[in-house]
Amino acid sequence: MINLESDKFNEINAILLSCIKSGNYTDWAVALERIENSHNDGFLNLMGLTNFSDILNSLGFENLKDWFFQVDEWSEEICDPRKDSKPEALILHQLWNHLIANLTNSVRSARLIGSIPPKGGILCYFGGMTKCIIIKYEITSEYPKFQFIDMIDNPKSVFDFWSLINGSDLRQKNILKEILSTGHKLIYQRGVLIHVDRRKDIDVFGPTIDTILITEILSQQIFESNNTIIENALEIGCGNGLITVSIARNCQNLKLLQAIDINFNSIVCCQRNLRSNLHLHKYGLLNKFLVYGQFKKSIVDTKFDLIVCNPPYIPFINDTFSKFHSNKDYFEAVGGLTLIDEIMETIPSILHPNGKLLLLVSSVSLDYTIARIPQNYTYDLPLNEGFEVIFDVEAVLNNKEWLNFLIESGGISISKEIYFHKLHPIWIQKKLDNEK
Amino acid sequence: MKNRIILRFRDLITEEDGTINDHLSLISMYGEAWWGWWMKQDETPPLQLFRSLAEIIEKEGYVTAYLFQTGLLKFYQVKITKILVAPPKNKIGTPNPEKSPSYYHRGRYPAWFLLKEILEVEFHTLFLNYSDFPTRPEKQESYQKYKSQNISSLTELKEFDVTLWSVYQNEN
Repeated sequence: MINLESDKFNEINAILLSCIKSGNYTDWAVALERIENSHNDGFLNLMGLTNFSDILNSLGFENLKDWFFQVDEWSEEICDPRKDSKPEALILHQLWNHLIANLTNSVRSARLIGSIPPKGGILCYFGGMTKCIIIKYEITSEYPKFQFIDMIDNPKSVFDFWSLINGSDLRQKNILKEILSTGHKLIYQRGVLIHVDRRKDIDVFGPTIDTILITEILSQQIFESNNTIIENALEIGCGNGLITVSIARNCQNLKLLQAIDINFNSIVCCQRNLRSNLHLHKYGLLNKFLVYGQFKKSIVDTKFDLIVCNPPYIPFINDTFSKFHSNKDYFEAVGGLTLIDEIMETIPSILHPNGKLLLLVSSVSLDYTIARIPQNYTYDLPLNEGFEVIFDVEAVLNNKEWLNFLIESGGISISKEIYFHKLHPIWIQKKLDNEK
Repeated sequence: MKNRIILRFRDLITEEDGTINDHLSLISMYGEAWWGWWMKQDETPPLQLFRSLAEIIEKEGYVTAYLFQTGLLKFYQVKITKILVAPPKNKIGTPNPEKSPSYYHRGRYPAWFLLKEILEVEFHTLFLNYSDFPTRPEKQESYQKYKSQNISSLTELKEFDVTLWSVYQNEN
């Protein structure tokens, strides 16, 4: 579980513990109403309790998944005026209620603005990346109804469905297959719903487990920090827009937002997701520059408080590797370390002296990246050990020479014929005067 | 003497009579429709009353209630077959979007009533008396004089700053 104990987490935690101790749940209800996207942290707080399993058991559930399976009927029982509910039940009910309310608004907006299909599936990530629930939605009138389908524990890639399909019943299997075959990818994380239409958004990347991890780190360390003010931000390589949209939604003081991508379809997709996730007035007020092109110093004329990038992080065997392949653009999008080099070279001119750069790299390129951090800059690894995920880059898996090179370099491990690597978020910022 | 409730409403976001017509068309389609109770911000949900109504439903299958359209001064008699109440300080979305008009879907309400039948009635034929103003515990003193009194007209009823009345039928 990724829990970096943000200010908001601690605030909600204090309320949660007090409610459980006093048996009075109303403060929790009020807090969740007041704090935006509080259901995310609510689940994180609740799941972090040492007696969380006992709480679920006392309510008659084997585990969280069991609760999700029964949540609709159970919610009706909670709202039956003849029955008295335990405070713990009300706490859980409020979280579900909030999640559904947020999803309703997001799906409705994405239907109106982003043209998502009238029915499909959404992957919702919460609990510090320990849970991914699959929810079926269907818009019968103007608003959607939802149905819980299944839950993935500790997801190691975005569509980590395969283990589920084996253990699912026929109905679930059919729904999971339907979700995969629609061509629409819908990911919900911390109040942001991202839609990628595989038929139109050609070559648009993600959301991948990488971008979901970055969003989680940003949420816990920037959006939920009481002391961090971000007025302008830049994402290099915005892809579908999950990170850009999250920044736009969650940085309350944001005035300028710039996103760059070398794929024109990504810019279109990112803009569509920005529009469907931002309130109209906020969308109108925010200065947005979505730039189609290659990142270079000359297209950035501001120093940013926050820069985020999930660069290609897989080293080639040698500099000329990509030239041997027909799909050069694709190989350059996933492989090569030149963008890392370019960012490191331009940090002094694009990062505000008090600003922060967040890069996400892999265990296959961590040492390389750290070695290139400019002298006057310091770094921090919020997840010391990294975050292990499936290494599923087809370009590499289809090329034994390249794959062996990476395995030998120590950045990739194998378990039961599945390759894994570790993702490492790195915060980079200018050294304080006393650190130089 | 059975206590019944009157729920206040207006066609604020539909055309005239739209609220009732939307519910009626759902009842004709599904046999039932959800009614969301939109209370005023400073009202208190009458949990004890809801509990007793739910117990009657459990025994008898339904409770009779009334809907009061304060804009057009129209009065309807309904059968409620289920009540769902949000936990304290909370609101809940529609229990079933298919069985509730679309304008409800986005909102969250402190209570939902499942209606089986809606019938427009002549108010003066019902002989209703005030029983209680359970959403306004703080105003019990000023409302005391009305309790057990006959409701003389819909215009009088409308003047109360409440969205839910507890009433009973004067059988004499």
